[in-house]
Amino acid sequence: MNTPVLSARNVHKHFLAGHGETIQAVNDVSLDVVENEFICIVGPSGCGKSTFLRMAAGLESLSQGEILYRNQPVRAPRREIGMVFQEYSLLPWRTVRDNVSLGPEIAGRSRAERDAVAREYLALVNLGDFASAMPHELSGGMRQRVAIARALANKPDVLLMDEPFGALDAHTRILLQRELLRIREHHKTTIVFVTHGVDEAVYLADRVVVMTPRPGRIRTVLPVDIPRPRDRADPAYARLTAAILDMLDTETAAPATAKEEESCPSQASM
Amino acid sequence: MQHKLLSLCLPLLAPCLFFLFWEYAATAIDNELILPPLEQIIALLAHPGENLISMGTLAGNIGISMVRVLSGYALAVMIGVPLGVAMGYYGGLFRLLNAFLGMFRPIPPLAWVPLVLAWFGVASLATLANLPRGELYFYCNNLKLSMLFIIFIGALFPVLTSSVHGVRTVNRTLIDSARVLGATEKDIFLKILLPAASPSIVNGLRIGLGVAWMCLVSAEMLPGSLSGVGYLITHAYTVGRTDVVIAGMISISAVGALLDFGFQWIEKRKYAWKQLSR
Ligand SMILES: Nc1ncnc2c1ncn2[C@@H]1O[C@H](COP(=O)(O)OP(=O)(O)OP(=O)(O)O)[C@@H](O)[C@H]1O
Ligand SMILES: [Mg+2]
Repeated sequence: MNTPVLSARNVHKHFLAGHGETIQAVNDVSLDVVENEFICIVGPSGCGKSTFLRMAAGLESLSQGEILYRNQPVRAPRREIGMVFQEYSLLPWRTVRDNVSLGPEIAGRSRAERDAVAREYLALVNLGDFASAMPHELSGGMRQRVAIARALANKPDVLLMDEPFGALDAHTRILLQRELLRIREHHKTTIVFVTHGVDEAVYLADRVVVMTPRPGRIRTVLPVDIPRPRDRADPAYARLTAAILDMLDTETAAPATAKEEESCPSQASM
Repeated sequence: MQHKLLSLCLPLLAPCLFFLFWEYAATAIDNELILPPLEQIIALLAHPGENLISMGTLAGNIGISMVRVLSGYALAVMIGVPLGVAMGYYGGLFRLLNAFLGMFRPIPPLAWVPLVLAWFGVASLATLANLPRGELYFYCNNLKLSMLFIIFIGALFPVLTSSVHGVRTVNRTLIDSARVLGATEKDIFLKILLPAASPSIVNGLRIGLGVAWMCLVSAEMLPGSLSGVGYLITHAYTVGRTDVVIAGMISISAVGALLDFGFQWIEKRKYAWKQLSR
């Protein structure tokens, strides 16, 4: 039960920028994610959260260290590790149905099977009526729900989510957070969820990983021992949120990173 | 209602004024060589099957021109699309060929004429295939290699460039989202790259066909050409038939617009998502 599903060991990543200088994006990250765990990674913009997730998905190579999925190194993307992207990622020329069933289609399932899967997962995200719609006919929140349905329809063992609700308004965001927890009750999956909303992390996670500004290191890992459904008015909830905010604040107050903070204000106030 | 009628009439206003002015100028000048009256042209266009000053019929010449353009164009598409997609997909191939092809891109198709004549002369598909004299020979002899080359080179670059561009600008996230679902290279190529690039490719096909059609006159001015709208125009000019020249020009315009319209229709119907998705 407690063998890690996903395990990062001393992971480093640097990029070669255009003018020959190297950018250290991820610095010595080690993390074990166990079965059915919900991990949230919070950190300031540009601290390497997306980069780490992309490495875990096998989309990006590591500069140093290793990432293991059930004791095998992750070298290329694989069906067991799903991902929901920070950016818009639906295929705009396909209907919602055919977007959701892309995974089964790639796996060679028949049309009937694919449609059944699409129906099931669209119902799961409450979009049963939109199977024949095109992505551009949907709102931002609906699109992200389709993206989540698409990832789940491939039945991943681990789901990596990169700020899936980042572009949504506060109300829709809270709604989808609740929905995600509901979905997880029915479809047990291990989730690694990146956000820069501290409130979001505390609401969702079993453990919150707090990162430092670039180069991203893990500052602390905090367990959230508040029973679900969590109440935002709960003093323990508020205390934990405040503590994490405080941590991020002392980090970003450093003059070297002041500029980054300016360009992408924390959404934690939400 | 009134508003609708007005907006329907508005596009017709400029042509009507133009034709009125033409009529007026033609009467004022009173010289068929400079500007024949409108009726004369309309009469020519109304009887496309009529034999014109021993140059064949208008319809026949348009038909021959279309076969030429479509042959040269088909060649450009068969080479341009696969090469463009491959160059868009494989960075190495792109770096290998892009600068090289860029050297030829700015050369107007017409500037190739002397060189093309030196290379191909009056060789045609018929002589190339060594066909026996006969009906097939007659038709294929109309497809001069030099003409095909001019049309080919004119259509190639728009087709190639749009294909390269279409593939290179495919959103990386779409590719990544298929890869995390377990897509193979082949899946990515067929299910992501091609559909994502196809609006751009089709746009290139459309522009390429337009350019191919525009290269027509220059191609049909080449020696050995005894037919086609371009030939009709240049020959009619030498015998002082300005009315035939203008009728030929109008036919070129009409056919070109028709071909373009077909592509526009496809783009509207199949690629609406491109405009609608942000
Ligand atoms: N392909 C790349 N080439 C060069 N530098 C990159 C590349 N990808 C990311 N970086 C750099 O790595 C750092 C971390 O980027 P990353 O996208 O992981 O940040 P993030 O934590 O996800 O930020 P955000 O919260 O804004 O999404 C940034 O400084 C970025 O400029
Ligand atoms: Mg990111």
